[in-house]
Amino acid sequence: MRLGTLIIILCISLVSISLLIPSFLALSSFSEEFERTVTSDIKNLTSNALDKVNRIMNARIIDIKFLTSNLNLNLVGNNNSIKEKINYLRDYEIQTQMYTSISIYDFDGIKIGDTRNLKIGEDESNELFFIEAIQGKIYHDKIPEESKSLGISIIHFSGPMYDENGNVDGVLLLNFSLSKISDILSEDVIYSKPIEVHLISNEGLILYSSHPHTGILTEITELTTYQNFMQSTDKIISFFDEADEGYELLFTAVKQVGFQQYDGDEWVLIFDLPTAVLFEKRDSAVITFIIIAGIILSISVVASFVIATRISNPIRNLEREMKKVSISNYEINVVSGGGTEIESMSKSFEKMVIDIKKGQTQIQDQLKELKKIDEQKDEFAAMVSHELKTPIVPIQLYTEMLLDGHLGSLDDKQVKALNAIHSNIETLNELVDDVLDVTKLEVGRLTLNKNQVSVEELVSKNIESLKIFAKEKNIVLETDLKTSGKIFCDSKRINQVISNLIKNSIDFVPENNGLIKLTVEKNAKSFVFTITDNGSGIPIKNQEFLFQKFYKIDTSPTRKHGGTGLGLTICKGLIESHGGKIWIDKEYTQGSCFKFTIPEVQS
Amino acid sequence: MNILIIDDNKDITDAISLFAESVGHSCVVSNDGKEGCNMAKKENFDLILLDIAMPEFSGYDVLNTLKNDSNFDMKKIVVITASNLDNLQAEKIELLGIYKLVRKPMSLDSLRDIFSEFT
Repeated sequence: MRLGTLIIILCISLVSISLLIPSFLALSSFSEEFERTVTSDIKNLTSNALDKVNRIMNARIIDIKFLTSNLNLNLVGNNNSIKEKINYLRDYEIQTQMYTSISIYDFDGIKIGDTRNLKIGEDESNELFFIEAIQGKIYHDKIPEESKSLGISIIHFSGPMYDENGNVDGVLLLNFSLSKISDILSEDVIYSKPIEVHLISNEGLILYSSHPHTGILTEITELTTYQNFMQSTDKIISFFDEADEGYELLFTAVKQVGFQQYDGDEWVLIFDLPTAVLFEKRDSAVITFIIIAGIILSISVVASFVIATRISNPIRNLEREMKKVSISNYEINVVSGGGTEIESMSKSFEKMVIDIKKGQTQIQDQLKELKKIDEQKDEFAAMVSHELKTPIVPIQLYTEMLLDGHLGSLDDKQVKALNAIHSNIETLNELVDDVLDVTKLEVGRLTLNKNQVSVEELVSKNIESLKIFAKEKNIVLETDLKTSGKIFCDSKRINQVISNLIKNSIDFVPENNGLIKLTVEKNAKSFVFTITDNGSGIPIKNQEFLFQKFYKIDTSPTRKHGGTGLGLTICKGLIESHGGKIWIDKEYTQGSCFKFTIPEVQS
Repeated sequence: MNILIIDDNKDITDAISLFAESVGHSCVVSNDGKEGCNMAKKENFDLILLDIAMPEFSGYDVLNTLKNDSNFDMKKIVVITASNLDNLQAEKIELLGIYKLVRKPMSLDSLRDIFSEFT
């Protein structure tokens, strides 16, 4: 897969996450709205149910008003017998289907007529319905009463009966069964399961409850909540509460406000229903959303992870292998696979490393070859030096024996010739040594025998022999040792350098008033040796070639200065072998000035 | 003084023995390493001048053979060599117990010094 594709997938993941967030916000707002709507619906339902109760109560008020006025005036008249009145009421009772019985009481509270002929002649003058009605008022029970004779709960509706003069002469009583209200309310229960309906009196007595185990006219258990509601100005409320069984319920409660002629009895109708059922659709929508969101998120996370790993792993691998290469370890193991640009990069890297490895092997082979050549060169030089020095031995010995008179006396010409031979033998011997040194320096096979040696110790002995040499030409050789520190060096080789430089100066300074000076001082990191003379100096144009092999300033056939032309090359090689530098001080104008350094600390 | 000179170069042995005899020492010369070695063991010389680079039986072989002979005094030997020995190689030879190592070409003075050190 290409990197671009992977990044697109990554973007899809990010987009899906960014879409999920507003979706979630929308869902939660929908959820709240849904809850509000549903709660409002239930409130309306409760309110409507109570309205039905009010209407049925209102109809009873109308009934009692109608019957008391009719009974007195138009219908049966006061002249009609009780029997005729009861017959009329019995018809009315059958017609309305609302009353368990209708009774007539005389002025003294004695029951004189009843549609069921029950308890005729009984004195009920102490009953509230009689006391209120006989005073000319329309009365009804605020709290139903348990009828002992009928075994059901009854709401009494009573009103005064009038004689022809308009005076109260008796009381009409309608026994309205509470079950009629229960029937209306239970309709709502039946059609709106699992709603439970409770009608509560102003004193907290249960007038009706759809819950099968709740006793009628018993006190409700949540009396405090109820009383709080009763005291508040709210007409309708809703709240959530835990049921005893542990699930959540939505409660709606509506206060009675009456209807037309019915003023209401401060009853309260309560609906309760489990929120699980109520918000089922919402909850299932939320669950579906969570599941879908979960799936999308999981896929996004997995996809992102996979992409990240597929990008980062090969990069990490590549980085690790690159580090190996950076420390010259070419045994790399680049992980392939994935098909991204990283893989092709890894492959290119691998190929590059193989090429480097190949190149390195070639270089190493060539180095080996060069080393072999150097070795051969060194061996050859050593062999040549041996072969050149061997014949010098008898030449030198015989020459010296001749000069010493061991082999008889010689004349002046012979002595002169032998001296020339002897001097040239020395030159030849020096040349052989120099060639050998140069070769060894070139092939890096010169071994240094380094020791800690004080400056004084280093130069004194050498300077003494050089002084003798200088004195022959009346040249003054001065030393100025400004430091007494110890130098870590091959003293023999450093003296070779000093001797070479001083001997060069001796060659170039004028006889008799020549002056050569060696100064040794120390700066921060190195010992600095300076050799100055008052000779002719070195022309600037020659200076840069001075340290080259076989370079001589004076190449004329008549040159008076000897030497092999290797001296300064060897000096340079020896000083550099010590980690130091050698140069000509161009600013010195009174002759020549050579400087070299030896570092105090050498690697 | 009785001197043995072992060097494969006859001109060198001739020159040294000529000088040695002229200053009153008696010389025995060998131009072969093996032969020289046997002579050194057989006869009691006061000084042995020994070359290193010799064909077949080198100065090293002579030194090692004589070193193994517990009765032989290695301090009688002065090695004379034209080989360009580095410090390590020279040290190795000196550690065999020889008197000293002299580089060729040596001057008559240096020979004179050696003779005087042994008499």
